[in-house]
Amino acid sequence: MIRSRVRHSPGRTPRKEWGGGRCKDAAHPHIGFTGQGEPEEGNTPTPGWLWAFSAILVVAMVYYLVRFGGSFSVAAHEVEQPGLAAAQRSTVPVKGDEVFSAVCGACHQRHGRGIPGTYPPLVASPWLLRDTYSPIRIVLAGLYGRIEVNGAMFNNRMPPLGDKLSDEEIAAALSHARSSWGNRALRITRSDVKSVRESSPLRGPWTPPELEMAPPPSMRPGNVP
Amino acid sequence: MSFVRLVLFFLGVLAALLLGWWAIVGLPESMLAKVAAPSGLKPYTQEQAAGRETYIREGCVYCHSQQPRPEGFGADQSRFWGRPSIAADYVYDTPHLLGTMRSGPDLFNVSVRRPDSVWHYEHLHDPRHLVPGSIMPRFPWLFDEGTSAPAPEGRVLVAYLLSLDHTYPITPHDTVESSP
Amino acid sequence: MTFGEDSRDPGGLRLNPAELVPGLDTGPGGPAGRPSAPDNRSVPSHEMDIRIPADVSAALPSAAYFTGAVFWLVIGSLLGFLSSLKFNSPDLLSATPMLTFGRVRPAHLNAVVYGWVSLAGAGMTVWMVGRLCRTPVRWTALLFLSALLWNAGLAAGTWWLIDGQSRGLEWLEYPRPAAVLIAAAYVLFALSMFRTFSARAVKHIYVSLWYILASLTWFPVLYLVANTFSYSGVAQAAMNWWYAHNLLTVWVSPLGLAGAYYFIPKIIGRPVYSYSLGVLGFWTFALFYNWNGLHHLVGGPLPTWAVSLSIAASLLMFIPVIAVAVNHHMTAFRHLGMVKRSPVLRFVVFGAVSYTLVSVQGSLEATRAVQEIVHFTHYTVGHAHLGVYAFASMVLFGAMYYIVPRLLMREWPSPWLIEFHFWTAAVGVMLFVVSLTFGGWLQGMAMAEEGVPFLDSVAVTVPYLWVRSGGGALMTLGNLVFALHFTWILITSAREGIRPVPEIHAAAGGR
Repeated sequence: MIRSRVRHSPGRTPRKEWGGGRCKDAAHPHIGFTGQGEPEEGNTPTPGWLWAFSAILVVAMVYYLVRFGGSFSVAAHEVEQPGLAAAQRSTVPVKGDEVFSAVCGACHQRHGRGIPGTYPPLVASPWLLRDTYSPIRIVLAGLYGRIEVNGAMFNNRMPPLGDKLSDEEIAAALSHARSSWGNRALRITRSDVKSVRESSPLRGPWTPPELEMAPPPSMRPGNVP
Repeated sequence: MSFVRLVLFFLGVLAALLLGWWAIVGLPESMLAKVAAPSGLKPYTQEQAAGRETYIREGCVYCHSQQPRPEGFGADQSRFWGRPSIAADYVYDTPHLLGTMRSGPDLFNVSVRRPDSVWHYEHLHDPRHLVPGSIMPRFPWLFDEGTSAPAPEGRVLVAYLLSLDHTYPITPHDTVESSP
Repeated sequence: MTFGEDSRDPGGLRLNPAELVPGLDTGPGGPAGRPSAPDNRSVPSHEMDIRIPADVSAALPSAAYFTGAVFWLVIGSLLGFLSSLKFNSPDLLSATPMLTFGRVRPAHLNAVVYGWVSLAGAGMTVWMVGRLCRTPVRWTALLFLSALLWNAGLAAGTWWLIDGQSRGLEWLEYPRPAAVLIAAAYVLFALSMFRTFSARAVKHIYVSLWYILASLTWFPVLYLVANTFSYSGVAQAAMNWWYAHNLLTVWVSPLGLAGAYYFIPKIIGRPVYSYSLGVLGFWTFALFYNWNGLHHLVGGPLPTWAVSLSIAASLLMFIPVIAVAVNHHMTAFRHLGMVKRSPVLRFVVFGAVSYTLVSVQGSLEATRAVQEIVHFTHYTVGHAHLGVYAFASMVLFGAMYYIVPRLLMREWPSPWLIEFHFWTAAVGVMLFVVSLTFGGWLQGMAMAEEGVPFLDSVAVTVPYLWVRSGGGALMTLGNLVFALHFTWILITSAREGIRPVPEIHAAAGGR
């Protein structure tokens, strides 16, 4: 009979417990592996400090809701930014390096060297640096076809960004590219972009020969011949 | 436990759940139901909607969010991800694709930053060719075998991505819907 | 020995405290000539008259749920490990649409939550309800049907996700037919449990049973509501995250807590510390936990007041968490030496401590100040695994190590494999959580820093993601060993048959 084999004498054979357990603690036979019944709850009262903590927390959360609850409307971001309703496109001043790395860097890469065979470099690129209006025209209307940049040939296309970016953003990104990685060229201002945008009607992407042939835009309305 | 206490127990737990639902879902929903689309937001075309299905199917949402946050919440605003989104921007979105991970960048205005379909095709075909260090998987099955021309599924996906431009102006009316 | 009504304890109340005192048993030879418990510290004979029929009635249904649970644990672990490797090596298996990250990850989550945790929890519940209601489990045919439908739903859902037919809502990805199967399975399970409860032969309802009863009420309502209302846009997001977080509220956490509340005092052989704390913990849990969820969308386009409400509710969770923590830990820490000798207790105490950790972390994480950094990062993934693995799964492992021998009437074949499982699981999940906590924090700092390119926030996580994969490998290994061990004991039982009941129970120390 199993009974005789598992009979436990304190201090002798360790008893086994299903579930991989071993009861070695013969000195304290009243604890461990001897809980005869199903579990039950003891009678310790909830400590006073927990009641106090709970009360304080509830009050604090009511205060939190009053303070950070916003108005009772669908409006979002009221806590983070109370004046958002007036926000239009972006809420921070435009920074050239941010626009460049977010938009232009996708192809020309953050280091401006492009991807050989796929996307042309901007480092020392005459298309970017030789005047102010060509790069603006490229960004506004896009560019496609075979193009030579610093002795390497590319055949790809650049999308028009005129309806995606504001004048200020285009000016900031171009100025960043024209003054980084050893490039040294004049800053392009918001009004430069504005005047190029106004001087040329909406058009499709340029080809490199078209771009080279096109006369400079009149930078000021007064200069129109 | 007496019968009455038992009934109270079940009513209590049920009430707790439904109260939570009402406060967190029901009440906001009744307010959000009144939000109308801003004039600059267009419904998805059939092609874009099909692309959205591909976006869901390939699980893009597990790495890309669609919810630029305001100044003070990360650097979203400096990353050119667009103004903080508002409820009105999402009225045509079912299922919603707000997302909770940014293993990749936010895509709510990806079309502003990447307006060219060719870039997207090359990127979906081999992300690390265009973005060294990217951990995005390749999606070769969105392209025809052999020719590498985009398959219909790839084309609609890119059409959807190119529709993600929420930079249209919003008015205070869009932001805070006044109850009638 | 009778299995019918007359075997119940007529008083059916709490145990007489005298029964907890060693040496009061009447000794060999019970009333019906039944062999009594083996030594004088064992269970009184009338207790065995109640317990054995309860265990016998639960044996096959629980074993059915457990078998499914182990299967989905293996599937879920492998899918999770593959998802993790894809972060280290994005080109791994990337030519196969079915194994792309965006399909494997939701398949992993659903298999683990609706498969492993749910089925193991159901198996544990069936056994525990019989024990705690002091009566055989009723309507067991429904339970077999439930296990069948549940597994069918999981199989269909997993296949559809891998095949690319997700519904696109996180935690609700399974297409509706699979969801309907799982809901039906749950309702059958709940019916059987409620029927058993109504036949209870006990007046006092133990705290584990509160959580189980609440859960059985909540889950069908939650699942129905989430699958019925078809909102769109931001309202749908609110519904989505209310559901996802409440799945933890109404199902995963109650399972883990019911298990911890049962097994810690059960193994230690002492009452759980405080009834009063149990009540406070339960009702504040029920009240505040349901308001959580929208903090998953902090900074997003939701109404500010609703998000703030969720944040406040998250912080209020400190009350039930502290109450439960004091209750569990005060019970366990007085006899902490026992975790050395009882693997079951070790698993369960590990889970209970993790519950405290994950809850405190979760409450703090919900605040806007912390969310600003950790939202959208791997930190959240670490948090999720601290909850679902280090807490819920560890408690369920412990529960299975305790229950399965009492279902199959035989001890686990190898104590060594149990040890191995514990250490791989514990070390694995700690590596996993710690690496993602640090990596995710750095990722969030990089993302929040103006002028830092986004790719830097990816690059900074790379070493941490490797450590995470190491942790994931250990967890997967441990789970596979567990599955092997479980298969071993199943096969042995099938081959040798289940041995006569009373003697075996006696051999188990009557417990």
